[in-house]
Amino acid sequence: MGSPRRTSARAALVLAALVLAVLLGGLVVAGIVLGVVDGRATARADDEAAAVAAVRARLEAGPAPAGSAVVIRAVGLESLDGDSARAFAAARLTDGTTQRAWRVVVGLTRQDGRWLVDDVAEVP
Amino acid sequence: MTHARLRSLLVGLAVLTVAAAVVVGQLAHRAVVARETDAAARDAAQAAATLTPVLLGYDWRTVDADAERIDGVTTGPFADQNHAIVAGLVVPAAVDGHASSSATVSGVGVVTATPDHVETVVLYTQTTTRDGASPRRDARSARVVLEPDPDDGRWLVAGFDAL
Repeated sequence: MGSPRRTSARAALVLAALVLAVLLGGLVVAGIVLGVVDGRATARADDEAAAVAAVRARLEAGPAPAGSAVVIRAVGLESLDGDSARAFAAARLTDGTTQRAWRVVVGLTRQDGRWLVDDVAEVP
Repeated sequence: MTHARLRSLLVGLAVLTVAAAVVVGQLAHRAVVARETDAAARDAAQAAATLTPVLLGYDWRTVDADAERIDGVTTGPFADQNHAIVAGLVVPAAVDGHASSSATVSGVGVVTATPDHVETVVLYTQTTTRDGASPRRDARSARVVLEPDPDDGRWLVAGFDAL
């Protein structure tokens, strides 16, 4: 049997260990929750980047008027909700001698994890 | 458990707790930034739709008040640049030519967003009249940058570039 002083020190160590264990448990739970939140935010940012990339790829491949080259100036997302998104793009069409503004609204849907353009309409 | 092992356990728990606190702190900061970025993108897009017509709107009969209103929706270095253009070019030209201008926004998309800086693309139609002639309508687009006012947090125009 130890001295009362040693017993008291041991009790303090046990108490400190318990407090730290509880604190650590709370931090682990908070970390899991925040990790899920962070994962969703990262996934959304990736979604937005993928949707914008899909718009750019589609506009550069077509459907500009025949004989025209497209210079995309800006693409911005209006909305992204679940598996659908809508974006606006400002571009210039050039046929080698003249240029004109080309403004489009683009609808996208996500299929099998990929964003696909399903509608392109010129904004008058 | 011996006293020495209890002490080792305590040190180990303390190290783990500090490490967990650091990780949780970083994750919490990222969560706050993500939430603020979402809110910034939403609010700034609304501001771009509202402020673009203000920035481009004037009438030669009310051009001084219009210029003040334009100054009231700009911020940062752009505010000074735009004030110089409006005061030095737009106001005299509007008065001399009995000109007016208005803009109608067709759509706003967010290009990039951070909690205090949002870049948008704005599609709009600008209608201008001069010397009583028939109005001229031009379909235009612009890159509009918005930043919060340092005093009240209102989103204001910090950049405007025609595309």
